[in-house]
Amino acid sequence: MEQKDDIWYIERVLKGDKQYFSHIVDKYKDIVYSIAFKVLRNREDAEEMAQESFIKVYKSLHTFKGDAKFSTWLYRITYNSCISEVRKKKLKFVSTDDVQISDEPEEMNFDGIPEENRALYVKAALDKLPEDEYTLILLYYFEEKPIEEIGEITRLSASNVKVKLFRARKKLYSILNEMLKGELYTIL
Amino acid sequence: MKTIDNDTELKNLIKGIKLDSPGSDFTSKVMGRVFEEETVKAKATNERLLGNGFWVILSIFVLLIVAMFVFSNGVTNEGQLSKLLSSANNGSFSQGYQSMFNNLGSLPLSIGGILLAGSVLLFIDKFFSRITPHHSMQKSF
Repeated sequence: MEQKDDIWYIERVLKGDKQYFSHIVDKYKDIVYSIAFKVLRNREDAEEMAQESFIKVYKSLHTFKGDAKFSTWLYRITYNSCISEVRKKKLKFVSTDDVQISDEPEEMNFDGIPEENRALYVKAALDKLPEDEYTLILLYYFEEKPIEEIGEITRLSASNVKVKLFRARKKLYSILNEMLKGELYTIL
Repeated sequence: MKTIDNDTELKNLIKGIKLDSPGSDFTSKVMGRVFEEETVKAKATNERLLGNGFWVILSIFVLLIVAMFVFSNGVTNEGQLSKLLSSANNGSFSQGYQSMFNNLGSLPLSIGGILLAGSVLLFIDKFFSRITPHHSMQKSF
């Protein structure tokens, strides 16, 4: 359904109804911006990069054949543009190697935390992940992209995506449980 | 045991998060640039690479070459022009054409070189001022 909608809008744009491109921008701007913001760590740069990504997509829209999903194509352009920008500006990638990955089963203890606030904790924990792991988690769980498509976006092999995703998920649980433990002490 | 594939709890929690959003005018900014791109593209398509000015300059140079050919030979040898005209009038156009190119050889090499170099430089200037706006800006100062 998602792909069908996208293709319909793309066809309209290619036929000359340029204003239909705004539907595509509205639909994907948050995730494109989130990836850019995570990688570039600056709101202005992220917004600029997100704009550039949409313009790049617009300019080469005629080359989109529909073999891959439109969103996969868009995210690949966004992710690669951001990585290139980081390399150009010689920014250092964030490292969370100091995060201790526990061997405990992946359980979340949200006791005492209202249900409506739980997503905020997950978001805060997600923000502490490095950009590559953040992107993998976002694409896999939020966007529900299959491993192969995530590989296409990040230019990693499917097995590499799985390994990184496994580590990222473990790390996310460790960060989250540390945060929740701290919260529990505050409540007590 | 939960794996990456069956962790529905994590998936539901992540799907519930509110992602960072760009500014409220983000879409209009992107669309502004889209329409800007369209205008630039349309302008580039409609604009001829070689404008009227180039053709005027080229015509002047061609006329100059012809005039120099005619006068350089005509003044020294008055019979030459009438001979050329009469050969054209006689219907033997190919003979006149041949005669013109034979006489062109008598044109001083330095003048020919200056005219040719001038034409090439003017063409380059015209060409680059069209494809690089920066160049034309410099030119206007």
